[in-house]
Amino acid sequence: MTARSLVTFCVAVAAAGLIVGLVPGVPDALVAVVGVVVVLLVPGLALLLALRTPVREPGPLIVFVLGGSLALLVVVGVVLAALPWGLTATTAPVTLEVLAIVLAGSALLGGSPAETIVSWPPIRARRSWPVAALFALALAVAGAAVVIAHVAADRTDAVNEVSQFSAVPVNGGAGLRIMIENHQPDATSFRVEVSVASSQDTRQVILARRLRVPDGHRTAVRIALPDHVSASSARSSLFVAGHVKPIRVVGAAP
Amino acid sequence: MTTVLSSPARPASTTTSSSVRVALAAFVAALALLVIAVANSFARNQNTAVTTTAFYVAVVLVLVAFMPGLLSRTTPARQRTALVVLFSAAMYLIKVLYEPSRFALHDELAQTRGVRNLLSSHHLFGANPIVRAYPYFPGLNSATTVMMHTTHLSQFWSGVVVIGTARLIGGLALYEVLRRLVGHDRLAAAGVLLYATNPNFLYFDAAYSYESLAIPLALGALLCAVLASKSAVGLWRCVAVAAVLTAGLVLTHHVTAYWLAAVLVGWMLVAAVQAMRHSSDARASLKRVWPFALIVVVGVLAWQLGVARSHTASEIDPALAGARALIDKLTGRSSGPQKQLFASGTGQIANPLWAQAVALAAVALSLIILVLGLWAVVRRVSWRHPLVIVLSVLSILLPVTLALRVTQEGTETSNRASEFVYFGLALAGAAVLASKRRQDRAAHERKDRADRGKTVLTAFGVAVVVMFIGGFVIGWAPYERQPGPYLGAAELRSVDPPSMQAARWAAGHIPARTFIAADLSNGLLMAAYATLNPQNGSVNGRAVSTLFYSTTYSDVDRQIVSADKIRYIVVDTRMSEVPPQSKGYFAFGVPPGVDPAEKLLKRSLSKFDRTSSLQRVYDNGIIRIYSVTTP
Repeated sequence: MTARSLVTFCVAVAAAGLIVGLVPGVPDALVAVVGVVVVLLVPGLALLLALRTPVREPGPLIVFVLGGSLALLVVVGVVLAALPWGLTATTAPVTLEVLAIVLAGSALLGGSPAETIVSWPPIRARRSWPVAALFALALAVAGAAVVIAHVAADRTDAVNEVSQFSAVPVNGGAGLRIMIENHQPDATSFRVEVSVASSQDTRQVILARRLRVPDGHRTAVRIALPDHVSASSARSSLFVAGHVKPIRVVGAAP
Repeated sequence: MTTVLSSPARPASTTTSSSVRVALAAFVAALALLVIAVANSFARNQNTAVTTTAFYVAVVLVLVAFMPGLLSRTTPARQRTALVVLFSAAMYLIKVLYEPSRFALHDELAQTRGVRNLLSSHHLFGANPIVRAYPYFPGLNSATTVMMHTTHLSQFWSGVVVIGTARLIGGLALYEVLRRLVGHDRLAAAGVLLYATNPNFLYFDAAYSYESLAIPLALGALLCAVLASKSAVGLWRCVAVAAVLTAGLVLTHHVTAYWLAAVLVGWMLVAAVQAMRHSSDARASLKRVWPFALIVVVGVLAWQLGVARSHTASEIDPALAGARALIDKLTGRSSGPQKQLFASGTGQIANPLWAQAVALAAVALSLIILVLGLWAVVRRVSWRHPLVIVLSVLSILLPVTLALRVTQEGTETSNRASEFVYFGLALAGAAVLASKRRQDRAAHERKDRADRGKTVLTAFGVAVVVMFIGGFVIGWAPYERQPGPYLGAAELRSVDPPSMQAARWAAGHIPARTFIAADLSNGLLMAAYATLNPQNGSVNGRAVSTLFYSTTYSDVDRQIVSADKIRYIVVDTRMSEVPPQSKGYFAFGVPPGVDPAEKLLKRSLSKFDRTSSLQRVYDNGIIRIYSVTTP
């Protein structure tokens, strides 16, 4: 592959990255694929082209292309974050891709790029379809391993998720925002009680609300408190309707 | 010394059969990864002998799949390079399969907080309550954020791509450096295998952490210097590439940058001494290496003095505590708790006997290889390359780092040092094989030589497997090696759905950077995923954890809450149900007279419900969050 074709590749991919990254409506999968190539290959390759680094062996070439890309990623990120406009969703891709285009373009300056000494190593081995098939199979199996691990981890998380209840003061303490997320198949109806201390050890329920929350769902409601009650003095409790035992008690000890 | 710059032409049949060998190795490793994924999936619900055995067998299979190709005499250079890349990728995937949907290690959570700071502020130096020095080494955070913005991937997958790529570079750069130092690609591949036996290789070096990115960048810069010193490529072009890699390195991790600076300066010094003995090679080496040493030293000094300043020292100081603890132990002045070897921090879970035996064998083998390797380097005149001498000298630290493990404080230091010290071991292993090769060549006929060669390689392969598993046992507590059900204060095993649910709720309901009190695990999750600031340390000489240990909400507790501006208290009710695994639920100190290895009392945790100045605002049956209404 000649240096000129590598320059064309860098400029084309960086430009494609700019377009798919900034134009709305492009599928995320496409942005991810183009973006990964833009981030990992193009900056490092453009750097080597610009410097006319005479590396022909595959090992050092891979190290410098990928390593150069990662290092430029670091430098671009830090420099942008240090500047007044900051590291944002617009400045990061634009700067990286423009830098790659400039670096690759600079390889055209000061002499014909065809005479530069950057080149991919020539591939002498004969194409072997069984080998390619075996590689493809290995890739598929490794991919399957990652998918299985991912799905299993997410599923274990989903199974072990627990019901959540929260009661947060809102409107400067004039009300409570109650949230219930249910992960118990046997309990779909909940009763929320708000109580205030009526004496040293007893509490008086001042309002109650029944909420229906199916398994796997979340419900949030706002409850306005009576004028004489503030959220800081109110306590909310949660009972499963029909069950004798409260499953979650919020506030003072039962 | 011979410079290996291009591979000799080989017959097409050899190349094709080697390509099949590479593809087969990849396929076998992929199958082993599939077994690990399935074993881990079952282990998430329950660790059994079957899941554990399947995991270890599959990990060994990943390693063994690449050995024949990497160590074979007949593998062409290009195929060996491909094998090194695939080996690095497969090893990284083992870590990904452990936690494939989120970051959960301590350092990963600290970096996650850094990325969240950057995403919200768009600027540098946002305070990181988990590791205070991280904002001053923003390389990984910046790279991840640029990756996120350019690819629209999540932070987790962006981090996986960045670190995965770094791992490929690291393995390949080490191979290329060794290849040029020892003059033989097979010996270099053996060195890569030996490096993989370091206790941190499998998980820690693959974690979403700054040294995981920095070490490959450092090796890339070192490769530039090695290439330039061999006159293989234009000096100043190589210096320019190295400058970019060094800039990335200096912005990413202090210790790795110091290591590279030390190696390059050491290289210059050794070359200078050799040059005084009229070695023309050394003189040429000195002329070509000084620009690399200069840019690394200047880069390190500029960033350290201009930006990082005392923040680095505050982070490195705990690492020196290990050395102090070892000296105290040797001089009989140690007063701290005795470390139980081969057991978790609190001694709750011990390694089985077989694991202890393999770990001891790994230590013995690494020391034997080190001694034989150093002897081989000393005896072999053609191996007097200054970098070989520098790495050999650094490898002498291996026994010291192993000794550090006899103390609790030194274990962490030893773990962190291993990724640097093992570069020397990799070289020593290559030297041992090289000397063996020379002896064989001198002493035997062709057929005997081939047989002996196979025996030596088989023995080497077995040693690598033992050292790899032994290193893994030494570096990671039994409960950390595979996923499994919840355990208290057990880092990865303590990150479970209830804790994550609470952190997600807090992210949506509690203002960012609010001060909270929490145990270590939940504090890390709250800091990383909810951008809250957990308070640690002490107030007026009393540990913040006093809040959780006292049985009544006393004036002391109120003082701590008031002085530390704590607005929320996160209570994990499991602290009173299961004993902690590592250093206890509160790693930053417990009240006097409290055993951190013990569970907390139930009434210590239920007292918050009896306190009028606290209001329970969140409850999922396991995690409760209390709002401080009046301090």
